[in-house]
Amino acid sequence: MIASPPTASHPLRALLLLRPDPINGMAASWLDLGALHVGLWSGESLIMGWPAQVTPAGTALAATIKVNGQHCGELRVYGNFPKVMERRVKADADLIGHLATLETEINSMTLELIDNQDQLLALYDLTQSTRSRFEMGEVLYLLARESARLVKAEQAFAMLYLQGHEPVIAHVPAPRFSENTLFDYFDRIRVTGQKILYKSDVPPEKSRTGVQSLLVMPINVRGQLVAVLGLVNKHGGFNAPDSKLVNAIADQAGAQIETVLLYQETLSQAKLQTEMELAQNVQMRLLPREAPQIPGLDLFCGALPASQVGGDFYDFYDQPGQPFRFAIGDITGKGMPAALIMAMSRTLLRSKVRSLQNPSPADILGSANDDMYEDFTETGMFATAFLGEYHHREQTMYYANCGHSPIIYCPVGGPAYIVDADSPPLGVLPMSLAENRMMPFHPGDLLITATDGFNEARNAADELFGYERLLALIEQYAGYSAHDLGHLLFDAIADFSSGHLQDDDQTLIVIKGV
Amino acid sequence: MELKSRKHPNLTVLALSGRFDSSESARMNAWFEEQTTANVVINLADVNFVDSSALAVMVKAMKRCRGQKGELLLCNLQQTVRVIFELTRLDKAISIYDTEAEAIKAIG
Repeated sequence: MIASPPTASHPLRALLLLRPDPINGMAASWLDLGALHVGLWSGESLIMGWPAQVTPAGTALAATIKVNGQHCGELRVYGNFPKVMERRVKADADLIGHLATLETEINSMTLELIDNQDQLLALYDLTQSTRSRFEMGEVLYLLARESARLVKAEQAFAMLYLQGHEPVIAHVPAPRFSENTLFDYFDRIRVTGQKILYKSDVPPEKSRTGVQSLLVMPINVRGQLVAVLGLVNKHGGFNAPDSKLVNAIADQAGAQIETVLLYQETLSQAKLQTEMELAQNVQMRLLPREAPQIPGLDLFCGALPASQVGGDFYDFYDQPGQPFRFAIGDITGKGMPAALIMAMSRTLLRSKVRSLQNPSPADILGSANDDMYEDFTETGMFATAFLGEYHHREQTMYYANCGHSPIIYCPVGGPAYIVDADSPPLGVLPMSLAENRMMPFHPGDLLITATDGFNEARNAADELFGYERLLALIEQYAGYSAHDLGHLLFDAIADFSSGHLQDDDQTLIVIKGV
Repeated sequence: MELKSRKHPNLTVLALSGRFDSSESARMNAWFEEQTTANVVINLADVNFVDSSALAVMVKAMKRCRGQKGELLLCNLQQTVRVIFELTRLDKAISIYDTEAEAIKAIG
């Protein structure tokens, strides 16, 4: 706070206090001319006289001093002066009046400046106290409390109302209005676009509501009414400067509320992000981390999830007395829906493998299709799936393919080729068209089952990795172990697509006959 | 992706052009929801790319048409798009014709 300058109630006293020099000089000049006494008078009381200790007597020349056009006092000069000197007394009185007028103007300007300064400081205080708050209720409470203090109102309230959300309301010090009343104010302001200013003529003791005066101001965020700030009962009612101040507070509050809303949005996005990461984590745990040890086979598996959860899955079914089976699949789409259906598909396939009596690959996929068709139809999704079954003694791989690719077979000596599907993916047709197929699987033969994250990887120039490159790599490195070939493929895709976001899961099983 | 449709007495022909990917799913699903004819022919002559989301939209549309005793047919597939239908064997679920006239004739 800036200290107020010393003021005296009488403008002439104030002038003498603040700017004595010109008046002293003027008086000294009169005394030099032979004046017996020079005085500034207010009615019959002397405000100041020169010389100070002399009591004036005799005749005097006198002139009225006007300050701001109002009679304010007199300049009296005692002494033996000719009548013409009256003109000089009058000129001096005018000069003193002019100086005093200027002084009062400066004084009132200073007061106004202090007032503005106070309001600025108050707004600054308000900003400071709310800027670190990100809880809407708390922000509204501080807003109401500080506004009541600044405007000197008995009570205040603030209500935020966003379409489709519960209102947030703060009262200071205690609720006076019902929620319905606040909504009435809100609606009235929404319709008129104007503040509500009200003053009652009914004396307080006769008033039913006890509301003597009311000021309700709109708070807008990006041009939309989102909240109201209300002040209740101020001695003498709310005047124009109050409205101006509350308007400034409401502007400030709008900016603050916007910040809080943005913060909340960011927070919920971060929460969602965390949940997605958790989902991805859970999903990765549903995939086997290591391939089992199977006589006659060298196995490798790996998965590189994309930035958001996807629908790739693979699984191994190694049960005593049963041939070794494995599956790989891909649910259409990305995100939570795909992840949920993926988890369901994985579980269903597991239970089919366990519960069906000596099922063939086509039996398993067909039965899964029967069970999931409705769910897939309901969700507008489908899943490609490949299921293989290895018979060690026969050195044969049986399989069924429901629309899955890439499945690449590379017998010893090549060439590598794409293994076609027989049936559309699971969930497309009510009945699966999957058929059992077989391929010899001797030592050195390779079966690579992957998901489209491999062939559809893109480089910085937006070119696809494609099947040709994949086939060529597999042929070239067919001599590698499953583990080394698997890593080589992951590395090749990573090299190719460096600089391009990996937008699909990359899932891979490499199976080599040994 | 651009979308142009033309109504015939008992079918609607939808001509698409550009990339048909996940960013189009919502719009395409909404378009099919609004269709009043049970038969739809999608002309993919100017579509150079489809992803699995696009396939899902077409499978969903196919089920919807069949649910109304109608049919969804495709025609004029570019080679790259045809390959995707063959790899996924969706060509066994959705009939594909070389020309729009053949597709319309098939509906009869």
